[in-house]
Amino acid sequence: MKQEIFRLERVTQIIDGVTVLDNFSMHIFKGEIMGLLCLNDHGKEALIKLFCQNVPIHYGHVYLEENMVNNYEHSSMSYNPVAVIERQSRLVENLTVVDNIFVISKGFKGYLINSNFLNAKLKLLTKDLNISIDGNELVFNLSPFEKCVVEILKAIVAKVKLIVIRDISNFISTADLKKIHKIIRYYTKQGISFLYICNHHEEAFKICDRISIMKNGKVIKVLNKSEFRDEVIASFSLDFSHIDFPLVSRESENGILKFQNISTDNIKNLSFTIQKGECVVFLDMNNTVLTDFIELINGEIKPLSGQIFFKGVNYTKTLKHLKNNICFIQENPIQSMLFKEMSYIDNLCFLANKKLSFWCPMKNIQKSVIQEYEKLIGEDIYASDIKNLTPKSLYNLVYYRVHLYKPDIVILIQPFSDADMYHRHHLVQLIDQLRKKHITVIILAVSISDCLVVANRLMVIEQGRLQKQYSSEKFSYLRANL
Amino acid sequence: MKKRDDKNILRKIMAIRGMGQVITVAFGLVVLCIVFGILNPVFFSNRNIANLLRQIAPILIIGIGQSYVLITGNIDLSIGSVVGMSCMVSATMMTKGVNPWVAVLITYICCLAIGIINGQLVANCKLPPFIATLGTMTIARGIAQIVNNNYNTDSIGAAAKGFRDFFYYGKNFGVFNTIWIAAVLWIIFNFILNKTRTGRYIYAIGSNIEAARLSGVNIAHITTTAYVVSSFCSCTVGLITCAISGMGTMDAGNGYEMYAVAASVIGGVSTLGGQGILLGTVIGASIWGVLQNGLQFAGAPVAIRNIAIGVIVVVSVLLDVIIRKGRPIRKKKNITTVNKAEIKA
Repeated sequence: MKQEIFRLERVTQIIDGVTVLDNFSMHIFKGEIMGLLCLNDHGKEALIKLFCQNVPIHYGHVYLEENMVNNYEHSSMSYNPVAVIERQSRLVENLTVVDNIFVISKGFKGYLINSNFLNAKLKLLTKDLNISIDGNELVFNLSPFEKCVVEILKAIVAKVKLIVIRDISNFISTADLKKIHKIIRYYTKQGISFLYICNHHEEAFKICDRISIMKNGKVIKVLNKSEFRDEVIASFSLDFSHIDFPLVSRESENGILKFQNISTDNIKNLSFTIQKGECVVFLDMNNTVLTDFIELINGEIKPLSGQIFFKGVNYTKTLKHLKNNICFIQENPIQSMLFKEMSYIDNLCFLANKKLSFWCPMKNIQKSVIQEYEKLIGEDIYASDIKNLTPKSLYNLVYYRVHLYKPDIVILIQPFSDADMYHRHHLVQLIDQLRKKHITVIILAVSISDCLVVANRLMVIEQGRLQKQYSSEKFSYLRANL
Repeated sequence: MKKRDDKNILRKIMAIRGMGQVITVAFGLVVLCIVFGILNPVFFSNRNIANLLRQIAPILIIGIGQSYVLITGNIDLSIGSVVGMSCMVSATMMTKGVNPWVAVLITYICCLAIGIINGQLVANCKLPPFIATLGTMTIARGIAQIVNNNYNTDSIGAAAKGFRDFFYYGKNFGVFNTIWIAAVLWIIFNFILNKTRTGRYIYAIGSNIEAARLSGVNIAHITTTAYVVSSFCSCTVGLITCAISGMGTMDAGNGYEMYAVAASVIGGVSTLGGQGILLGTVIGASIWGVLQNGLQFAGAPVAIRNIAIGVIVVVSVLLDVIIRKGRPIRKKKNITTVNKAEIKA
């Protein structure tokens, strides 16, 4: 008989008058990988917190190893033996790997630190995983994948019962994700349970034993392994396939952006040409070249060799001048790219102001912008405080700001990460709007996510080199294999 | 084979947190010594070197305390006032006929209380460390003034000869006791910082306080420990000051908090927390001492000395910020390797 580790029984939690968890039930067995597919973000944060800490709930019960640890009558606020692995690392960057795994841990009893002893313990711990880690390496120097491994090891040493893996494919490359899955499977055999939270069913199908589908803080369906089929999921997900793409403009030899044998510390001899109006996805399989790519375009670093052409002109030595023609939309832009103290219209015109002369009457400009964009944005354009707007409206703001500025190229960094299904669907439409204005779109990603829905071309980069290129006709084949 | 071992040792040394910056600063110290030696050969005389080391010792001691606090990501502005308080409290008691060693013990207790208050205000009451220690700075200075009714004390007298010898005038193995005190304190606190769990927790709090909290580190306890170490060091320097002058002066330790920050920061301790080693504090305090001493020999006025030290502090902090910004995003080589054949399978 399977041993139960965690059980949430008809849990309802209301925070600030909003029902974040609605009659939520879930049980996780020992050594099981339970998937959680969130159709929207509602309740996700509250659920993770509830797993970690016995916070007050309005109805229901929480059981840990069949002992009730939390119920609607009494919540002790105590912590459960649960570790969360997410983008925001919980490691101390200035300490070494062994310090993080063994010393900065609740269970560490010794007072004196013996690095050799701890390194030996680490070797023992990693022996069966086929992993070799230098215990004396500072965590700061590790890659996201390596940090993730260290966090798993730290959780194992701390003897947690459940490890919550949250949206890991947003910051771990496709190649590294396979390695992480292998480690997860190893520890499930040792009796550790995992809650694998992700946005894409394709990802969950590969690793999970069962999958709960959550929407608006409620489990709407639990899938067993035998039900892991696209058609089962189809009834719960939005249809992305209907979106039409504007045609790419006529190809020219130099295109709008051309890299010719570009090399940096991490990029090796990269050559490609992007046409005006095209949408190209760069899939960085090892998560090593994106930073270099951004810094190159931004003029922060210079290539070690090779040349960069923009509209046929060689910009290799004057990369900083590209800034006026190329825009960036960062990852999780509603957090990172908006000015919370400014009004909606000030935010919207922020980039476009660069094109205006100092003496231009701002009020008149803003009035005409409102006239033009009100039909696209709606009433929100008049908002003086953007903090209370919905994420959808804030995504509008970010993308229409670029739409208004009309750069030649916009570079989107992991546009679909941290966005739930509804937001991803909306993002596809926003990217489409940019393309209708003949803005070239470059998407930089470490996981494929929904990028293929909008792309004309996919370039796969492995170990800093361009390995393969796929045109949109071959995407269906790719979806099955990546 | 031997060459390979040497390389490994060098690699190990360079892998120590902040060692690169310490080596850079040490190189600067050597250059300063050579320049001052050329300007005035007396700089390298035995007598001057002994004096220089005695000058450096108190700065090193308060630098150790400040380094502890800075590594936790906080700051202690009360150091100078605690030095003054320690000097006045001990001297007043000694002039009133209290046994010098009993006076020393009571002084330590008073000063450690300031450290505990600092720690509690910062960690438990969540006051910004700048404001909390600014408050205790004024309080400690007030105690220093009130303890002898707003007067400097009289001479602590012949009964305190043993005390004065222990803290300043005495020698052991040909080296002044002040230098021994500094060396012993450095060894103890360096050991705690590098080889014990408390030391790791101090770095952890300064580097990622949330991660430390989630890992079960008692933030309030460790922060208070750092402030108590700082107060302990300040108290020791106060006693040394008392031993030097043989009396208690109300303005003792004025501006010492700045010297402590200077010694730590020049030596590579980050004001942002989580980084720095006490070897750097030794170099930082030495640069401070050499600059003071060397510029004095070169005939530079006090104002110029202050300007020089100020400039060096600003440049050091700037270097820290630049180094933090410019840290490579990824290291060149992956330390983790997984059996590729197995993954493919």
